[in-house]
Amino acid sequence: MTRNSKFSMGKLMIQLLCVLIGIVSLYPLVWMVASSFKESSQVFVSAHSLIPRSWDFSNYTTGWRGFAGITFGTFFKNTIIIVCSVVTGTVVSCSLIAYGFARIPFRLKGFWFGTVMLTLLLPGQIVQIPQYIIFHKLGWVNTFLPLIVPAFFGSAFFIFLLLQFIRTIPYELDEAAKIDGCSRFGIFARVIMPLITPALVTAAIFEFYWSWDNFFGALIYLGKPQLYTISVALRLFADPSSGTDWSAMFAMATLSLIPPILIFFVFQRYIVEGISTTGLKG
Amino acid sequence: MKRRLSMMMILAMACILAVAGCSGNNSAEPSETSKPTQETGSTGTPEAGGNLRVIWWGNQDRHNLTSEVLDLYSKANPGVTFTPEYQGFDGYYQKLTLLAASNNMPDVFQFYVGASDANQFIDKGLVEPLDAYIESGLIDVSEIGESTLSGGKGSDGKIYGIPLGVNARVMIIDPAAYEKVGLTIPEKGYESWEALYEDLKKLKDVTGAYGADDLFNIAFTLPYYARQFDQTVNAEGTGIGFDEKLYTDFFTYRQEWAKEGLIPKMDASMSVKNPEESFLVKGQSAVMVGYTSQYPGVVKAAGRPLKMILMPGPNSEKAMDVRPGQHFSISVSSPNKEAAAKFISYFVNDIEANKLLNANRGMPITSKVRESLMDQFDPEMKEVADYLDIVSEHSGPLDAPAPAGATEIDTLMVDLEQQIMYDQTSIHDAYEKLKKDAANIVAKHKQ
Repeated sequence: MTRNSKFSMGKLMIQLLCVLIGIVSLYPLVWMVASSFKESSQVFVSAHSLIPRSWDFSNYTTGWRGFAGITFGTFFKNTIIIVCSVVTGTVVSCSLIAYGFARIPFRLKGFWFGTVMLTLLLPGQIVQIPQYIIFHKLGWVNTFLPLIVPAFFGSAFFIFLLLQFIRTIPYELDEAAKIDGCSRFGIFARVIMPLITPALVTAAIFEFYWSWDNFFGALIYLGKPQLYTISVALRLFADPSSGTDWSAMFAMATLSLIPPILIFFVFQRYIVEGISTTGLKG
Repeated sequence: MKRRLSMMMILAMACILAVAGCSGNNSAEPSETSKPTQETGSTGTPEAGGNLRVIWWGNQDRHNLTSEVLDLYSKANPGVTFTPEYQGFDGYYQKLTLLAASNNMPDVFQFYVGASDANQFIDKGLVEPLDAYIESGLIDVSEIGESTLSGGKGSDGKIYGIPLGVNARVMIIDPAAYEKVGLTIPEKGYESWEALYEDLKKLKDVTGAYGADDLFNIAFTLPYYARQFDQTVNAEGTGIGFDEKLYTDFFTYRQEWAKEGLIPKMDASMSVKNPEESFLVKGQSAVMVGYTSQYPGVVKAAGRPLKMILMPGPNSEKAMDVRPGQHFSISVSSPNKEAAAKFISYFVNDIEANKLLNANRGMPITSKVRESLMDQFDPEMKEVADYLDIVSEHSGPLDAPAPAGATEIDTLMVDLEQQIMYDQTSIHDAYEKLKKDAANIVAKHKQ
């Protein structure tokens, strides 16, 4: 009896702690959503209150109207185009590369694999400068290309993730397929791909988040407002010298959170599955 | 943190590009690097214009209104098309640096001649001097006052930007609080700081919290305070242009008033990041200071009638100034400089265009435009216009442009301001350090 209650007491404390941490980390988000319904001038005056004095939905329409006739529809469209291309590119290229490293013997494989892993240690910021110069000389600045094309050439993190997953697949399956007359690509497409779906989904979801959030790349490569992504467009509301329509900005920020949240809830179980399986065998 | 990192990245990148650009072909056409735009640019005859790239920072209203004006201008001047690029203020100068470094400067850009961020563009010879265009009449300045125009002068005396609007410092008061205590409002501003002090003591009782918001923010008030005593914050040779007595008086007022609770203590005043968050707006103070451009926002946020009076203290006649809000400048590498100059002239002089813009970049600089806007202004904007008329009669010329390195000195002053107000150092020690370091900074930038 005593032991039992002690046990549930401990459990309760942990639960409480979790809820507390959850509240703390959710608070800024909730505050933003609440502020998106406040009148712009009230955002900071009544910053302490989460419940708006009067619910003001007009922030969403003013915000959506965007800037100079370019609505947030355009910004969402741009973001979705970029994100979808990037995700496709990442999934296709990384799975191919990972398959190559996992299954195909070739010369200096260890060296090349080491090179790929080294790029994982390289902070992205270091590459940005030479990349900008290259893209600038190619005349790609002010197009989506600098944001999309690199994704089609693999990314070390996902290559590693997928590689670890492929290694867990018994080699016998490959051999069986080979005996049945499958080509190398056939094995990849018919045997490996279906088996690594959870890892692919994980990779796709992570890439989705990262490129949805990508602010820096979009800021430097996209000059024209027609090309802006959401992350850049959200900043167009802010001007400290005259005035910032905070509620409209928060309203659009709230909208921009919907796709990632949807993706998370729909594919949540794959994320967990993908990480846990690769993590165990890694 | 993440953002700061990315800003540093842009700067680093700009530097590298600048180096790369120098070793590469210097004669590269700036427009060659930018992708051809969807607009039918550069088909017009040379004198008619071509495609103008215009870049500015601002908020939603400004982006919308400015684009409308661009369309209006294109319609009236066939052959001139625009490629607008706009963004928020954060990162604007970094972006401009990147564009400059990659030989990709826009034709017309929003700018602030005299700000230290901006000075480096002038120093590097990236900004076209406009004197020739003014002389030839391409930019019509006949309606613009000499002192307003002088705000666009660089340290070499040439005009680098045409102001898009003007601003002035203002003291905003709550008339209801004055009435409650039975004080008369000094319409022309307080004669002395002491007179203000006496009134604040009474006003404090009405609000129950403070008499005023922070009145002594060093970036805002010190330049004005120095001008009252014929001194300046920045000086070419020595870094700082004010003596120890002025610095001591300034901070003694501030410390004593804060101690008596007439103004908020440093920590409280630092929590106010926006004029809309001020104690005056919340009804916890009866007086605040700010710029005229902030007045409509403050009144809206406060939701009760407020009033503008001149800044306090002796000699406010010469200490007040009418400051340009921001400028339009032309880049040296622009292939369409004449069209750009014509456009800028239109932007500040045309009545229809300014009716659309509705003083979004500050009060229009020509009195003709200002008058034509009076009918469409909100009551608050009208008050601002009237107030600016008073200020322009009670103001001195602008300070000379800040010398190179002024940004570093400003940072240092803010640092010392906090050390003094948090009792980490004495005013005397702070002044000694400031004097020495400022001189070093200026010397360093001379080399």
